[in-house]
Amino acid sequence: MVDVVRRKLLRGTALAGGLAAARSLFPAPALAQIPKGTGEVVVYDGGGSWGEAKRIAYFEPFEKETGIKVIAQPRTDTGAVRASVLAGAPRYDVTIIPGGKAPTFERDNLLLPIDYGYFDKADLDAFSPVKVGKFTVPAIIYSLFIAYDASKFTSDAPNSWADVWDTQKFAGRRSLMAGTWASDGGTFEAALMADGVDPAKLYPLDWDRAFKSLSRVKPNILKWWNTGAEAPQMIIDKLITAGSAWNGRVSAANEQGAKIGYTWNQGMLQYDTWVVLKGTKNADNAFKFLAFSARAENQAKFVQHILYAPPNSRAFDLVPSERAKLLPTSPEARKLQFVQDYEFWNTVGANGKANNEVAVAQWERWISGAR
Amino acid sequence: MADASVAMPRRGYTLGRARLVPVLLLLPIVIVFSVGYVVPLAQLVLKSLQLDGAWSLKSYIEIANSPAFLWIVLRTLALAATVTIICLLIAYPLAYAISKCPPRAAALLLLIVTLPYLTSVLIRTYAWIVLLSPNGPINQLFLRLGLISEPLQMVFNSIGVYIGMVQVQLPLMVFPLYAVLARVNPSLAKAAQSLGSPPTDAFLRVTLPSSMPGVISGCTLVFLSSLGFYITPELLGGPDSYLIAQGISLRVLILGDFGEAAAQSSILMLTVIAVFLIFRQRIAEELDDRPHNNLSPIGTSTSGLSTQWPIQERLTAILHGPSLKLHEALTVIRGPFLYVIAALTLLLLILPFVIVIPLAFSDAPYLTFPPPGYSLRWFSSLLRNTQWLDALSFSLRWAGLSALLSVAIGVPAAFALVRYRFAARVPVYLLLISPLIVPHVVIAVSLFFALAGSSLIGNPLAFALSYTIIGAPYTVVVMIAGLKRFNRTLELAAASLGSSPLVTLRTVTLPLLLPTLASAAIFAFIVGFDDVVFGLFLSGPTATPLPMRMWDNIRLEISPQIAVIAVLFLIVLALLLLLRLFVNAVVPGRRPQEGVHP
Repeated sequence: MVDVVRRKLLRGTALAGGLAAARSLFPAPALAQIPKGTGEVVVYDGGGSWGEAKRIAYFEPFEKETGIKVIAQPRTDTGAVRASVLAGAPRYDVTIIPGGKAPTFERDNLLLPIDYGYFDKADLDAFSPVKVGKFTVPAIIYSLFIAYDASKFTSDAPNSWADVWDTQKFAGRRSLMAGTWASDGGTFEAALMADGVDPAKLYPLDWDRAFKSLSRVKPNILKWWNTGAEAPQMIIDKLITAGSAWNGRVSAANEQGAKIGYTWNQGMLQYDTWVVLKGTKNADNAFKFLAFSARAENQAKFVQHILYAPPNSRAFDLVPSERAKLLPTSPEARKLQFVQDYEFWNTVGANGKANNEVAVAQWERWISGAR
Repeated sequence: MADASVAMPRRGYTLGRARLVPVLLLLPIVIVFSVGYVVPLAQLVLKSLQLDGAWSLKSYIEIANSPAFLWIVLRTLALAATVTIICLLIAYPLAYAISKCPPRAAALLLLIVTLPYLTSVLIRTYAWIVLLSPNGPINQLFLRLGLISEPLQMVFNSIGVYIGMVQVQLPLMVFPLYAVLARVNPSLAKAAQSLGSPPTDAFLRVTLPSSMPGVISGCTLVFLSSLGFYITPELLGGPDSYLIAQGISLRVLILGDFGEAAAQSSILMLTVIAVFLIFRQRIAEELDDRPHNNLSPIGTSTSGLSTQWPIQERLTAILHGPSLKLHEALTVIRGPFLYVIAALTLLLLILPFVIVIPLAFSDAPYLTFPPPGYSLRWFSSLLRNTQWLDALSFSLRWAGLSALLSVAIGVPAAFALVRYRFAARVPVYLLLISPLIVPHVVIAVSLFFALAGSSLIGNPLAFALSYTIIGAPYTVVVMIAGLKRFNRTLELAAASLGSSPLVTLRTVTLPLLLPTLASAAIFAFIVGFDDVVFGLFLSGPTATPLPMRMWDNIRLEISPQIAVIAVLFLIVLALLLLLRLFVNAVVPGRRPQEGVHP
C-alpha cells in the first residue's frame, strides 16, 4: 500500500521533473514572452466537449495570463465565415477551418498572415506531421477511419475499406460522409482504396473509378452522414454495422460506454487549422492567442479532455502514455495511416474549379442519376 | 349651389381619408418588409446576374449546362407533390372531423395539429429516427402483433422523408380546410339528405365542392413551402435524397459559391412566385368575405376577389363520375373510417413527443432510447452552462421582442386587409404571407448581403428585423382568421351608443380579440425562437441565439441536452397557453363566435 502511494508520488515528481526539465531547455523568458494585453479576442468555440477542452486548456488560462478576454463563439459554416469576411465584418478574430478548405481562403485573400513574433521557436519547429504556414497554424489532427459495431464483429472485424465495401463478409448497412463535403469526408479516397488503389498512389484521384466503386457500395448505404455525430450514433442505434467516422467522436462515445470498434489501417489523417480572418479588429490579440495555444503544455492539457492529436509534437512528451496511445498521430497509429493531400483538393483545373468544387458537381450528378 | 360647393370638397376629404386609413395601417409592415425582405431579395436576383461587377449570365449558363440541376429540380417537385397529396388525403378527414367538434374541442385539436411546428426540427427528426428505425417501438409493436415477420424499413428512405415532412406541413393543409369546412352550412347537407340524398352523396355534392377553395389553398401552401425543405430530408432521407434547397444551402454554407447559389435561389424563388401568382385567388381566399353558406354561383361575386375559376368546375366534373361509384361503398364505412383516420393522424402528430420527453430525463451520456435510467442530469448540466443560459436569454428576449413587433405591425395590416377594400389588397396579402414560402436560407443570405458592411451584422437588431419578417406572416394570417370570425354587431352596438371608433377599438374590439392576439404573438415568438438559419449569418459576439449553440453541439455529439431544451420549450408553451386560457376566462363576453353557433 505504502509502496503504491510512494510509486505514485515518485511518478508525480518524475512528471514534474520532466516538466521542469522541459522548461529549463527553453529559458523562462521564452514562456513569458506573451505580454499582457487589453481588450478581447473572438474565437471559434466548437461546442460540446471540444469547446469544453478549448475553454480549459486555452481560453481560461490565456485570459489569466494576458488579461485579454476570450469571447467564444459557436460554429458557422465555412461559407458563412467567407461571406462575413467579404462583407468586412469577420465573424471571428481567430477561427478554425478544415485544412482542406484553408487554401481557398488563402487564394481569395480572406486571411491575415500570421505574425509569429509571440511564438516560441521550439514550439514552431515541433509542428509535425503538419507544419505551420504563412496563414495557418494547425489546430488539431484527427483521423477519418473505419469504425464498426464491436458488439457484432468480435473476432473478425473490418480492417480495410475493401472490408467495409464487402457486405457478404461483414453483414449490415453502411454509412460514409456525403460527397458534398468533398475533402472533409474522405469518401472518395475510401472508395478508391476499397477498389484496390494503394494509399500511396491515390492522388490525383481517379473520379470515374471512385464513382464506380461508390456505385457498388451505394445499395448498402443506409444514408450519407453530414455531421460528425451521426456515424457513431448510427452504430450505437444499431442502424449500421460499419462505416467511416472521426476518431475523436468514436473515442468519446467509447469513454462513455459505447462499443464502437475501429482500425487505424487505411485511416486518413486530416487536420483543422487556426486562421486569423482579414478585417479583424483584434489581430494582435489573435496572434497572442495562437502563440499561447501552440505551447506544448497547453496542447497536452487539451488532449486530456478530447482525443484530437496535438499538432505540436512536443506535447506528446507531456501526455500519459496510455492516453497518447489513443491519439491518431501516435507512432503505431501513424504508420498505418496517410495524410490527406489537401494540395490536390485545392488544385484548380482547366475549367477554373478546384477539385473540392469538382467533387461536389460530380457528386450531385451521380446522386441524381445523371452521371 | 353653395351647399354643393361646400359638400364637394368635404366628400373628397372623407373619401381621401377613407383611402388613407388602410395605407396608414399597412405602412409599418410594408416598410419593414421592404427593408428586410423585398429589397434584399431583389438585390440577390441582381447579384445572380452579375460576375465581378459586370452583367453576366455565367451562373445561369452553368446551371443550364448541368443535367444534375434539372434532375434535382424534378425530384424536388415530385417530392413536394407527393407530400402535398398525402397531406391532403390525411388532412381532409381530420379537418372535417374537427369542423364537427364544438369550438373548445376544435381549438384544442387545432393546437395539437400545430405542435410539430413548435418543436425544434433537430429533436423532431431524431425522434422519428428512433420511432421508425428497424428496432424502434413501431417495428417492435408490429412484430409482436405478428403483422410483419421482419422489420420494415421506414427511415432513411423516402418513407421517412414523407412522414417527417407531412407531420410539419399538415397544419398548412388543415387550417385552410378547417376554415372553409367550418363555414359550410351544415343545414345544406342536411337539406340535401332530407330530400333523399344519401349522406355520402350529400358530402360529394355539397360539402366537397364548397371546400374546394380550402383544398386549393392548402395544396398550394404545402406544395410551395415543401420546395424549400432541406434539414428534414437531409436527416431522414436515404442515400438518394437530394433536393434543390440542399444544393443551395451547400453552395452558401459550405462552398461559399454565392453567385451560383443566388442563381439557383432566384430560379427557385421565381418558380414559387409563378405558382403563387397562378393560384393567387385561392391563396387569398382567406380574405374573401362572402359567407360560404352555399355554392355561390361562380362569377357573381362582388368582392373582386373571387373571379371565375374554371379549374374548380373542371375538377368537380372529373371527380363526379368516379365519386358516384365510390359513394355506395363510402356510405357504409364513412363514419368509423373518418374517425379512425382522424385519430391516426393525431397520433402521428403526437408520437414524437412520446419519445422526446423521456429522452430529456435520460441519465445516459449519449442519446439512446429507451433511456437506461432516469435523472435530471441534463437539466442541471444545462443550468450550469453559462454559454447556453446566455444564448437562451438572448433568444427569449429577441424572439419575444420580435413577437411584439410582429403583432404591432401585423395586426393593423390584418385590419386593413379585412375591413377595407382597395386595389392592392390581394398583392399586399400575398407579399405579407410569402415569407412562409420562400426558403429561409434564401431570405437569410439576401439579408446578409444587404446588411453587409453595416454594423447590423452581429447586432441584435438584425435578429429583431429577421425574426419579425418570418414571424409577421403568422400574425397576419392568425389575425385575419380572428377578425373574420369576429362578430361586428358588438362594435356597431358600441358605435350606436355614441362610442367613437378609437374608443370602440380600445374597449370592445381589442379586448374581444385578445385571445387571437395572444395566439398570433405565440406563433411569431416560436418561429423566431426556433430559427437556426438566420443565426448562421447574423450572429456575433453579442448576439448568439440558442439554436446556434444547439447546432454546434449536435454537429459533433448528440446528447440528451437538446431534448431538455425541447421539454423546456413545451413547458414555456404550456405556460403561454395557460396564460391565454386565463385571458380567455377573465375577460367577459368572450368568443362571440360561440354565440353565433350555439
